[in-house]
Amino acid sequence: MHLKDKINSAIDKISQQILRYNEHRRLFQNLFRSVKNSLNPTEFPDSFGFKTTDKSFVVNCPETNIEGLKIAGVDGGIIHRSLNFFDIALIRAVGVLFYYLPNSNPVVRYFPEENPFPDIVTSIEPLNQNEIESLISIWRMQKEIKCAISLVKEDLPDIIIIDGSVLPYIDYKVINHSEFLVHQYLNLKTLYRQLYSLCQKHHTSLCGIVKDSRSAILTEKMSHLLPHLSKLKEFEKLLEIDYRPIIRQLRDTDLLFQVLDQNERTFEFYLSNFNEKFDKNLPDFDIHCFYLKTAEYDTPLRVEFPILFSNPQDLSQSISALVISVSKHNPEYGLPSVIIEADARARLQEVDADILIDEIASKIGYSSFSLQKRRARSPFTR
Amino acid sequence: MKGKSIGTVIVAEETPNPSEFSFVLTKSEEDFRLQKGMYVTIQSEEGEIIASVLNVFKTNRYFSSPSAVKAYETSGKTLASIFPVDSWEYIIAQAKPLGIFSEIGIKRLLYPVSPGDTVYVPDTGTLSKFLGLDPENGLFLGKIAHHNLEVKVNLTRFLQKHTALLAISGAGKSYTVSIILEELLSRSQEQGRVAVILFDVHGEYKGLSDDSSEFKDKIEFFPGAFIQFATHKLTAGQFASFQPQMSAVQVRELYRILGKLYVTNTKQGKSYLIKDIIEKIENDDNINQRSKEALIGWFYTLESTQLFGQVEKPSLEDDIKAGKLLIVDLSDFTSLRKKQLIMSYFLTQLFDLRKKGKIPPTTIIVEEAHQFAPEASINMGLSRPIIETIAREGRKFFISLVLISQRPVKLSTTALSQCNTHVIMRIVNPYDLDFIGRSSEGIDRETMDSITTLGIGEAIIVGNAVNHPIFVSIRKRKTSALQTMDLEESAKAYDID
Repeated sequence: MHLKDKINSAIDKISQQILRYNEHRRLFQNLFRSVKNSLNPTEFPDSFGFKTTDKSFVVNCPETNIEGLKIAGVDGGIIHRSLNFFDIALIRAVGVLFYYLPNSNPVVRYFPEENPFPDIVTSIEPLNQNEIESLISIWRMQKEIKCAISLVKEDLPDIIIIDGSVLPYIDYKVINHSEFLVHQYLNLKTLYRQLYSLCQKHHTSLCGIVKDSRSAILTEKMSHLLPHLSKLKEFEKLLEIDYRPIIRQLRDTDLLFQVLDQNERTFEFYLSNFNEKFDKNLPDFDIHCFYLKTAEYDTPLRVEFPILFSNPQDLSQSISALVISVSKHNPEYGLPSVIIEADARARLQEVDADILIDEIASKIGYSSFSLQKRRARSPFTR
Repeated sequence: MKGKSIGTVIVAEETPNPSEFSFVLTKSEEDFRLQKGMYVTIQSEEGEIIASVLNVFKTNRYFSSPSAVKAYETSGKTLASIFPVDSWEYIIAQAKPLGIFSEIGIKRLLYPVSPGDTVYVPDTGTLSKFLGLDPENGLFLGKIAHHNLEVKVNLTRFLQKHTALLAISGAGKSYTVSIILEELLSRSQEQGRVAVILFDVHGEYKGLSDDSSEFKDKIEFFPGAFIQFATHKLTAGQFASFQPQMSAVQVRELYRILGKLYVTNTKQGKSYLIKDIIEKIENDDNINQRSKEALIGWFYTLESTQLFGQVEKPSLEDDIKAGKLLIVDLSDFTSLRKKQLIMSYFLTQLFDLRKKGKIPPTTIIVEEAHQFAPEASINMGLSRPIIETIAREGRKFFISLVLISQRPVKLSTTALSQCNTHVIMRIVNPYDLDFIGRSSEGIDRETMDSITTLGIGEAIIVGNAVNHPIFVSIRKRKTSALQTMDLEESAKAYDID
């Protein structure tokens, strides 16, 4: 067989596999969609947790008038370079606050300013690749949370939306070998606690928006639950098909993209608590989450929020209503406007780091080329 | 000396390079309105780099994707009500470096400006010098609007090597001519004055000599009905130029006849008329019959024009004076041939008188120049040879042409190519535009593209008078309005009379 024939055969095989999988998956999604209102999560505490309060798998989000409200978003940007002797990063975070006035465009304020100069942070710690990646994440989150704290202090928004999780997701097993990293991480957790407390004090809703979540929390829960639903008439058809391989491969957002309609969210469910084992005597916070479909043709967002005041159900309703109100305008892109604006302001260009490294290299008498690691300085174009 | 800073050079597609750079406006639009055609400057070690703004455009990330704009705005809300779109609007300009200006002169820029360089507005003094203007003694034609800079062109640079004024009908040619006339008539002896003769094809310029005009004492208006050639001043060659079909033998015979008349009349202090020439031809036995008949026929034709007499009217030697304008009214003539005869006669006489130093340096303004010096055959333009001669040789004798035309493509290429300065107003005909592009020195593609968009009273000056093409808003006239009527006024006037 010629090489061209081999390639064509492989392509045909892959295409057929994808088509078959899609067909199967679509069938499952459609069947699940037809029973989405028949499932009451509170009836299955073993699967969905005791802290779940919504009585339907899918909840309609209320409409809200945002006139007179202050809606804020925070995002960060980072550019990192690993050089021969040290790690260097440019970091900045921008907070954006939209103050909605009647019959006019929103008044916009920026924190600390519209185009803040990035912080330049360096580390000469001998860290491995995983540790470096954790350090960079910690630096970025520190900057974002500090920005959010100053925003809440200065302008008391009604809601503050953070781009990304509302938890400091760092794998402690990766960092616990480095005292330096642990110290940085604990600092970060302190900042989060400060933010939670401030929001609690001022009754500012706080949530984190995860855009392209790859998690499979819900599908995993469903894969365990579905076999037990065979007694329910509504689920007969769904259980007739071989759903197990499908649901194992589906991520939450894949499933929910077909299942949720615009302005619908999933039930809210307990995600985690804030404290870890070593945070013994420190105040703890429950973190809940739900998936929210803000745009007809966009995948749902995962919305995480700490229970700082009120109750999980009411908080879910008010947060989902506010997030939808600033995300619903583009049927193909359902991200909150405050996050879009903050992202645009915070984003850094690769060229910024290049300029910085050139400057440092010239000061220490190296060429910027030799300062970089071998993998970044191939003498030939790739 | 630099003015206020307005922008910063940025990196754009293959720029900055020696022929182009882009900059972002760092002032708000309210503080500074950046416009196409403006001049900007960048400081360099060698002097000030002066550049002209070729284009200005705005960017805004929120409006850069048509699909996103449509998607958001179909929600019924404007993007401005969802995002802070105004704060993302940036004004970018593309600029073309024209040269480096320093105390030692102007040099070409052979290296690129640097990204990050600050862009300033040049001060008017620097700009004036850079563009080659003459703020002290120049002819004040108008202003470079964006810079409030008076465009005063140096008399010598503007006129010595001739000027062409090209525009469609109604673009303001005659208005601009009246500005040039006002400037020429306003000059003092110390500034250097030229005499001016204008051939008024449409009778538009009579108003310049009205009693209310501050120039009335400097303007002589000569009605067409009184125009007369001094027959005895015409040579056989000039007669031949009136009748291009005349053969060399016939010209030689005529030369001999006029020689006889010179002896019998001119030398005796007597002039002669066409009928005297005809009589001499008839009575001459040496001319063969066919030539005789042809010559007599042609002279009868010339006589029928009633232009040939004993004395020259207007008298060029008497009426062409420094600092004065002689308007020759041709509006009563319907025959183009007759008008060409007049043009040919007077231009020939003027050139001759000027060569002999009998009249001051003179500027000749020819309206509808394409009628008098058409690119078509000589037969169609009796005055073309003398216009081309003056165009070629006039500068040595300080006799200059201002050729005005709305159809440059029909104007003699020789004559137009000798006009070293072009004042170009609005032109839309693609053939004319193409012709201007080929015949105007120093005109670039961007300037060409602007010609069709010029408004009434706006002009581009290119060529010898300026170091770089400049856009001018022609200034207001001091004299009263030209004698023109619109269709409605004309209809009323006819009806009421």
